[in-house]
Amino acid sequence: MSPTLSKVVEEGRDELTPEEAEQFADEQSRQYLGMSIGEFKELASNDALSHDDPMVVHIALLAGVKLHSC
Amino acid sequence: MVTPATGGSFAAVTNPPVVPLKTNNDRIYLRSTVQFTYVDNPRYPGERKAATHQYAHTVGESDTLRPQLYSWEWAATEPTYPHLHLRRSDPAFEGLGKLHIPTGRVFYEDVLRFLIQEHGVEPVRDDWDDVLKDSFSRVSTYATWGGGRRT
Repeated sequence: MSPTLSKVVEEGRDELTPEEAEQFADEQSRQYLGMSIGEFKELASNDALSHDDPMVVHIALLAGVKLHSC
Repeated sequence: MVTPATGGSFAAVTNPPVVPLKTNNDRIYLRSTVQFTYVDNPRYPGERKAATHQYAHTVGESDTLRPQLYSWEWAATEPTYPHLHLRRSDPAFEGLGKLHIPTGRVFYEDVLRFLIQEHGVEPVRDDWDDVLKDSFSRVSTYATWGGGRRT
């Protein structure tokens, strides 16, 4: 579990702040796709993401990134 | 868990993000993300509701969701109809996963019921059927589309 999530779960909260959400999206992108959320957004804007990885759509929804296709 | 996304939207994410599920003889893994905003409820003046904009409910054989078994998706991109990816990126089913198999709207409750009834996932509570029925009843009452079915 990511540090951000661990902290939230320990605190018994079920909602992230905008700052935590940004960190969480970055952690998830790095953990599952091996890239920062900034790199993810850039690849998404260029329609250069592989849609073979089932995590791509989840990271996109998490970060509010619009994919060209899914 | 709910996280703010961009443009005033939010994302509800399974917590942990990838949930291990015990079946009769194995484990499978579920990740669900629903992007939504809060809007005025057109049918109940003065009330607000969550409006789903996109969703992805993905089931896989590992905690990376690969190989992927199912992914029910509806997103603001092509194709815009709700669809299912079956066995995406699974070399044993080459090409199948690229198909966008049309579906109706698939709710989180639908996925949980499917996994319990069809995959033998062990529910964590004895009254799971009542809980899912109650949850689906509430969701379908306020859903703008796709909620009209027998429960």
